[in-house]
Amino acid sequence: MGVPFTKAEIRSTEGESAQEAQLIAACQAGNAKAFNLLVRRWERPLFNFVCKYVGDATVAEDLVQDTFVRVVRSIGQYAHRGAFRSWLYSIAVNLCRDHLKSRKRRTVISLYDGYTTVSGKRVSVSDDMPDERARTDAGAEAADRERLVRRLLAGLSEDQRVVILLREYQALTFPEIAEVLGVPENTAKARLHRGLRAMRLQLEREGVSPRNGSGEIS
Amino acid sequence: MSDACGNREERLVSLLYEDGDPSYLAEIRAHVATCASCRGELEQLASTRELLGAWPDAEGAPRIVLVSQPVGSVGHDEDRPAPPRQWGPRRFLPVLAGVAAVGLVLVSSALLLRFQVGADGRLRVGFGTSYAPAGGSYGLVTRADLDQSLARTAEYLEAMVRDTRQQDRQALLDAVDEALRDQDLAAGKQVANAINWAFEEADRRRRADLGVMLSSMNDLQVITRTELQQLSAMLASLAPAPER
Repeated sequence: MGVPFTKAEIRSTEGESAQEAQLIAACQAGNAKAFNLLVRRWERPLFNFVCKYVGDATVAEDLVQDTFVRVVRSIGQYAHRGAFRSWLYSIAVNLCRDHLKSRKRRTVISLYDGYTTVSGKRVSVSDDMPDERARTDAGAEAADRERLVRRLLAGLSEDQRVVILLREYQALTFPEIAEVLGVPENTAKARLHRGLRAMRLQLEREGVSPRNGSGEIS
Repeated sequence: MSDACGNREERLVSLLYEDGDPSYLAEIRAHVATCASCRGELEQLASTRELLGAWPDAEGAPRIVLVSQPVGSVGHDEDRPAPPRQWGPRRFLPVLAGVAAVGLVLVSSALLLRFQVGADGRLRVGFGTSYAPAGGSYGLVTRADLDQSLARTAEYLEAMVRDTRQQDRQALLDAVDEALRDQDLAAGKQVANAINWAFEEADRRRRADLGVMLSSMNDLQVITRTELQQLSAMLASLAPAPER
């Protein structure tokens, strides 16, 4: 790669390791190998996030790919004002939002959309979807809980869902989430709180305990 | 809930995720210890949060392929060569025929296509978005799409070579128009590959060769929908359509 940052530049990359800063610098210089490394470093976490966000692995692959395309196109303008991953996730979030908007326009309903809304309306449920893990009791229970979580998250507003996904599954800090979404930190926290509360209320409506994902609430 | 519960949402989330400096968190803890309402709310948040762990990450990673290309083979929009005036319409008749054959087979496909004039003067077509950082250029496709595309392209090209009828340009444009109305990305990639190879095959006037085709991984380029429309316009601006 061989495009080292100066110490001052490295110090300025808050939240980034010096290694990553050098990698980004190499990408900015057009180093293909560096970009490849950057893709390998981030493709899995980004894919997991996008997959949970849009609920479709195939679409997620395309969106992750598009994210990296955008990264390459604009990495020259990336100025290290914040953590690289905040920048990366903000690109991915925008692409996911665009996708979800276009999906609404095309009125495509995926299995992911199956959920009981906050108002209690049953939309379309994928509970009958076969699952490999359902071959054992423990596997079946885990699969049930996973479906429950997916359904609950799908029932949230997009604003609430994305904060939960970024914090819980990607371990972004609240300042990073605020940067990704372009909102104040307290707004991000409030959305997360409301999201968790909405999930809890939905569980209560269904008579399900959050402790084990089934049965009566204690 | 009392006045001391102000900003409860932010404060409880801060405590739940231990986000904030120690003195701030200690202050919230002290309040929660004396406020049954906030304590109950915090417990509920924690138990709901715990449930979120039941959704594991997907197994495996996305199958993204990074394809390096020679400098200059793909460029930014501003770097793209001027419109290919040297392409006489006659030269493209066999090319268009090939493309039409492929396009007709894949009319239900959707495209985000890029057309590109290579240094050798040949037209290349690819899928996705073009980009070229300083000093190099890359293309990204998923491995699954690529494998599927290459296999199907082989079939189409075989059929194309067998079919000696000269398809007219309008057929191509119709196929492109129809493809633009559909937005199936995977099919778009297949079409991109197929068209790319149709050009090459027609230009070289030889049968498709699967071994050569596989090497087209290095020729894969990525395209935008706008650029496909440009391609369509460019083809339309060539000579009058050949007679049927």
